[in-house]
Amino acid sequence: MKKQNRSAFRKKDIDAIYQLIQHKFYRLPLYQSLVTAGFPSPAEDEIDDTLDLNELLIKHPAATFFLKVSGSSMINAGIHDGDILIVDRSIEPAHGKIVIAALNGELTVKRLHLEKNRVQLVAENSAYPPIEVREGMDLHIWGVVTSVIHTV
Amino acid sequence: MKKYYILVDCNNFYASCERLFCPRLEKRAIVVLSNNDGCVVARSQEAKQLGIKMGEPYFKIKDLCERLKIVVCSSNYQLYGDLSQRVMRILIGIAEEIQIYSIDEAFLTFPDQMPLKEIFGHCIEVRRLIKKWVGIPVSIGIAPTKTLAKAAGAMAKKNPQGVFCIASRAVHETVLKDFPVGDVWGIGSRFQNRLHALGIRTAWDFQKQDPSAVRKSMGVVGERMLWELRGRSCLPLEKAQPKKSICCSRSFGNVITELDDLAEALSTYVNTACIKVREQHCCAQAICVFAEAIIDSQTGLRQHDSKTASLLAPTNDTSQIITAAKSCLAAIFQKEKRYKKCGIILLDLLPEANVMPDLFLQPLSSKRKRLAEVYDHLNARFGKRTLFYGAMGVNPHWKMRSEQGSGHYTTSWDGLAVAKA
Repeated sequence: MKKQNRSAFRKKDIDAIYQLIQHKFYRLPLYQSLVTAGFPSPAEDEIDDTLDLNELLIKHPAATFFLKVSGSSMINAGIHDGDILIVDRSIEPAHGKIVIAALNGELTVKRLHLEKNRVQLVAENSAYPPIEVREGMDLHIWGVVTSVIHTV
Repeated sequence: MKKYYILVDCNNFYASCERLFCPRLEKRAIVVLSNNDGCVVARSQEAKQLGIKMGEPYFKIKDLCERLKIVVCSSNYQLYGDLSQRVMRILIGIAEEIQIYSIDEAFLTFPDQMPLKEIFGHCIEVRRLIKKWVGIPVSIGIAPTKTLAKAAGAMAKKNPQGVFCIASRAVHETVLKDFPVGDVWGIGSRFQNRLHALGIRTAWDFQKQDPSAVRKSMGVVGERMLWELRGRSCLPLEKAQPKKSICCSRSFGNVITELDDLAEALSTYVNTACIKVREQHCCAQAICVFAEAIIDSQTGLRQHDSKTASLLAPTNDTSQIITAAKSCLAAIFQKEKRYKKCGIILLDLLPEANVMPDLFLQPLSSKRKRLAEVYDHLNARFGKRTLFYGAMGVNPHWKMRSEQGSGHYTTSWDGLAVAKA
């Protein structure tokens, strides 16, 4: 059983390496043009940028962490079991944001509801009732979820 | 305008790192063990209060930890290194100059014209920012010298604000009169005992001494400490300098008796050292291989053997250095010895650009250089041992013990912390 696991892991690694090599060789420039003899393309000088997902998804590298989702209470927000969350701790938690909360010693992802004198952690799945946050409860907001990486 | 030094020090750093992804460890006593779960290298405040000492061998406190429900963690340097980098990155962003002093400490300065009040305000904000962004609590000491900033940092740890400033005469005197001389930065136990014998107990007593007399008995280092304590700066921020030598060694999880196993372990450390030397674009001109065998397990007595060899030409090529290291190892290896540790030191490092090609030797081909680049790149990206040299062994059983390690939450896709949904 163990052996099987290991070889499965290796296969995954090898695939990942192939992907990297491909990535290295076929990095997509923002503009691409075929050079034809005699007529240099006017876009030629513009090929200096490639798209970097980090730039799009991570605004504060020092404050950004990745977490893995376990469970289906946030399914209606598009957060599935096994997805990877991008969490930015520099963002202030506010009403309506999806947050990571440290609740009773565990990290949990829920939508934060702040109303007059009332704090709730709300699931996005009718099977899970909202969690009412009361005084003296062991809770703090760990970070704010900015994106979810979902493999389709 | 006076110049101020600011010391930023992470509180109980390793324990704080362990807590970040495990909120259930909040307010619990935590100890972190050294490599191979040997002895205590870090403690949370709660563990300190329970009387756990730094450096204590784990087997001695194992029962106590179980009884008092102290959380025991193997060290997780990937995690600590990553969080340290995040803290330092924030500091680099706000400081005028910075000296990263250790994994959890940095000295910095702000622009000269900045008034003390503004510096203090900045420090409060920086402390809040690091706690919020990275999740690590820090304390900050501000003073006209680095030595005093260290003392201020120690005061800050006891201060709920987390920031402490030694600037006014009155504060300077009050703090130093209460500050044990042995806790002054740079005064080790050796100086402490000598000073105690002379009746010098506090930092205040020490700085009152005659500088030239201190110079005679403690050398220029001692005299500098004295001036620094008086408030005259003698120790500027130091720029990071490339290392002159690189060492990599570890203790084994179990005793090794076979040369082949020892060679596998050594090759693994050579590999690590070579990656480091390539990172700083240097070549080694010589190597030193050493091994430690247990002579007497009761007293812990060990035999230490080493061999130094110069390399034919300066190199940072892993396979060349593995070959050289293995022949050194063969020279010092003794049958029936019980080896517990080995390692390599790359010596006389030379910047790659300064390497003179040898007329009679084949220069490192560009193919081999390219190989090293790809090797380093893949291992950095996909984790250690994505590619590795056969000499490092396929299934090393001499590997370090790390029985209660936390995940590589920030450095491996397989190690991410879980958020319950």
